[in-house]
Amino acid sequence: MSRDFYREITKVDRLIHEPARLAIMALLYGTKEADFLFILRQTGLTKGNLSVHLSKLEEAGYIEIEKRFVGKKPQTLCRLTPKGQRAFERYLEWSRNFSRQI
Amino acid sequence: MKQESLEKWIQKARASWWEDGLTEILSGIGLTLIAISGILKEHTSGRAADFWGFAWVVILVGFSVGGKFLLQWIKRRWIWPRAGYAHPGHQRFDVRVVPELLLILLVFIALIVWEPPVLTGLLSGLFIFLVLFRIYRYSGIKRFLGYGILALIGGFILAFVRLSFGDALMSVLGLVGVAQLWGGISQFRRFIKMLRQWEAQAHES
Repeated sequence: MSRDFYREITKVDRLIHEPARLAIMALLYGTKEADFLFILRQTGLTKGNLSVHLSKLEEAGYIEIEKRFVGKKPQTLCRLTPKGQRAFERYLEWSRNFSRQI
Repeated sequence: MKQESLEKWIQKARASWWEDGLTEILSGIGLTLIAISGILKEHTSGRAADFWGFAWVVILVGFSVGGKFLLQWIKRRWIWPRAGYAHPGHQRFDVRVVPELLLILLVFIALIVWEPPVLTGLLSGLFIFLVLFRIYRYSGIKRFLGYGILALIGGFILAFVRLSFGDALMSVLGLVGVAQLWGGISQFRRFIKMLRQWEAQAHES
């Protein structure tokens, strides 16, 4: 393994690299927006766990969360911000490079 | 996480629109009705031809415009409160689609201008295959590849029958419509099963 390989590993975005957050980011990248229930069903995370990860992503400015009512029911909508989209695309690029080097 | 599984997650999100099978059920009904009325329009005369001509336009416009609203209404009322909501919109225009679009355009122009008797069935099948293959590449849903291959096979068989462009296109559309209806119903049954599992898990936790 070259020195570049080890340097490449350290460049990873740790916030996205965590498996649950990576799944959330990938789901939101594949859609324009998705609600809390959709992400919950698709990832299989618990409600509390999902809330924590969403808050971390929101704090980093990677996603935006909008709370609204559909009829009488509350709905939490999540979507990637331009910053989050760029960060995820960088991560995809990093992941491709990394896979090639292994 | 492997690169492949990451791509699968993105495709899974894109495929969520088709997860309940309702889109295929509605488009299957629409395509079948369009094909039946289109063929009847070509093969009847007088008032019957006028009636089927009018019915064909009504079904085509009705399903193109009203189908989307009906689908969204069902999803909003029944699917999204149970399975969650995701907007399937693209993040940006995918430039990889340009060669396919150009090929589709060329095939369509060739069919309208020359109407080559042997190739109409084959090209109708190819035309529908390209549209369905595009959905498969976007969402990763193998059913769409299956519908596309069925359209190609159907078109290949129809090439030997030497139908007119209208008849060939309607026959392939009808074939794909019936396949989509069947595929949609099977997918809807799987979706109901999955929904019950989710609800049981939610109840346990």
